[in-house]
Amino acid sequence: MINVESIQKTFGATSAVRDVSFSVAPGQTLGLLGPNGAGKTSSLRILCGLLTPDAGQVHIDGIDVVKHPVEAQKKLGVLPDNCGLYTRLTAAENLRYFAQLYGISKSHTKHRIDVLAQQLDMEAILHRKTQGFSQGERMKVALARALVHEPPYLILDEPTNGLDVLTTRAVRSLLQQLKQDGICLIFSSHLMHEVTHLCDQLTVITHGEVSVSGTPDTIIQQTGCTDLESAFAHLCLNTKANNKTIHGAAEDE
Amino acid sequence: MNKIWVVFKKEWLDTRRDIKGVLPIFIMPLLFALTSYGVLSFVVVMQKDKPEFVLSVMNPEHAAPLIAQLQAAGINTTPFTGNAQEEIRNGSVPMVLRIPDTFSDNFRSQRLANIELIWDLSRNDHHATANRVKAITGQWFQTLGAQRLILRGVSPQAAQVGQIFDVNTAREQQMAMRILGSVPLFLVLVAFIACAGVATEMAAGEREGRTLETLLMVPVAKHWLFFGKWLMACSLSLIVMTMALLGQFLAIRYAPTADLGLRVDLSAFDYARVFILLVPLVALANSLLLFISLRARSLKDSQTYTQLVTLLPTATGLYVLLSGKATTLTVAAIPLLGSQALITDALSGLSLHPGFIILNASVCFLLAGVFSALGVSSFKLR
Repeated sequence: MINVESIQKTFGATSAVRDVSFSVAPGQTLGLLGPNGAGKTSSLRILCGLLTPDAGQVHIDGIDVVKHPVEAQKKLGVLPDNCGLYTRLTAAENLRYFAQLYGISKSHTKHRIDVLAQQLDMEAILHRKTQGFSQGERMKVALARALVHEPPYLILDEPTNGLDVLTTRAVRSLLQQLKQDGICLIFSSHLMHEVTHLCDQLTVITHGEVSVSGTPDTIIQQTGCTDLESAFAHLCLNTKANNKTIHGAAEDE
Repeated sequence: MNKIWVVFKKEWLDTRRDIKGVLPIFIMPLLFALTSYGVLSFVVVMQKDKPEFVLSVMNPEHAAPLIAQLQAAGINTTPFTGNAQEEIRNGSVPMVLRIPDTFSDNFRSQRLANIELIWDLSRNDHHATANRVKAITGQWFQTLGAQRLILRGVSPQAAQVGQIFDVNTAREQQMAMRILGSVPLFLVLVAFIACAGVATEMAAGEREGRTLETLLMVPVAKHWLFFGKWLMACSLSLIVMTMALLGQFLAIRYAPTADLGLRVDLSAFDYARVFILLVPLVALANSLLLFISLRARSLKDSQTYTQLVTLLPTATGLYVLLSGKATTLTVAAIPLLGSQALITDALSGLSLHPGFIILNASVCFLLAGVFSALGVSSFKLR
């Protein structure tokens, strides 16, 4: 179970995360929706133990991420918004390096690399240096790296961003399969059809705050819209208007 | 501990494939060895192929016995009639001995008979010759003065209370090290900057290549990741340093030091002492370089800061080279300065105070620890 409670994060004068809370149970899929700069990536980085929140708490299976980041990170597989591959290493060497850092044995690492290469259709690129890889190829290697240690929780930051149609479909198909295998997925996106198909729960973040949480259908009903895209646009615009009103009132005072 | 080995192996693999980045590291010791050999050979060539010196003399007829004395001492002379100062300034003659018209009269009447040696004192290459001319002339004056005293029935020793002589305590190896003074500087430079590029690539390169985020998400304590990288940088530095020592050994062994009347007899023990002195410096240098690279916002920033760091050994090296002072406790306690001073002593064949070595190593390791701690705390996203 992942529990994120009222986290806040400020960078200098910029308040990136004001008040974000969400929780996700094993086997569930949670989508973090929000416009660019809403605070999705910062929230996910706090969840991964990369950033320390100014306030709030994050627990993964009862482990406090702030106090015990290394213990918490063992349970996570993460695909960051940039793929972050070592370009002078081959795809297999990239995977092997991280598998060894996760403490997986040599023989099991080999087995996992073979399985993932097959699942992600990357046998042809496995022994090529990642320099010069296409965005799709980089994404596949990064996804394989996130899965190499068979984590119970997988965090993906805009996983299909910049991918061509075929790769996007392959990634979605893999995520569906992982969901069926009982892996808990948390991913950020601003593609409505993607989250509609994959997510059990949605949390919409705007301006560093959670605007609404619930199933896609509940959110559509609550906003009185006909589809999720309209509901999302409605929430974003409403928050913008509310913020303007609040700022206006503050200036009047 | 196993994780340090994993990071160490990966960094070696990554660095090995970065040919453009690694090649200059391995070329550096070779260049330094060639420089040492070249400097010594150049000095020998300069000594051997020196053109014959001819001293220009104005009015030589006024002091014929002095001219004869100079020629007897191997200095050829030629009469000179032009503008001495102007011709020396434009370099057509190196120096002119001017014997004034009044010299003969003054000499005969036993008054003070001065002569002038006109030369450019800023020209280092003329100092030895000028000193030689002055010494021969001074000796001639002394002999004449002594003869005059004898004629008057006075012992020449009465006019001379005593004389001071140079007694050289420097060993031949120390004298050689005055010429090879750049060797400790080269060795410290190698230890200090060999891995500057690699450290930058391993630390700031992770940030620039956006792999830092992924690396920080693995369940491994940051200090293990840092020490894996530090160990890799140190191991590469030690390899390059061994190459540098080997290069200097060959340069010194095959350089024509004997032609200069110098003897450099460095044993394997001397080189081992230098290696031991350099190890703490390698630890310090790589901690500092990694810390700087982790603090830097970008690869370019890191390269700028590490370039500034390379000035440190140059500054301390020049101090040791020019000061020529004996190593003191204070000097030994200053990391770079102490290392260079101790290495100079070791290469000069002097005995090293064990306390100085321990003090220098302790300060280096202590600072390495401080920079490592700062480096680990800088190992994060911004």
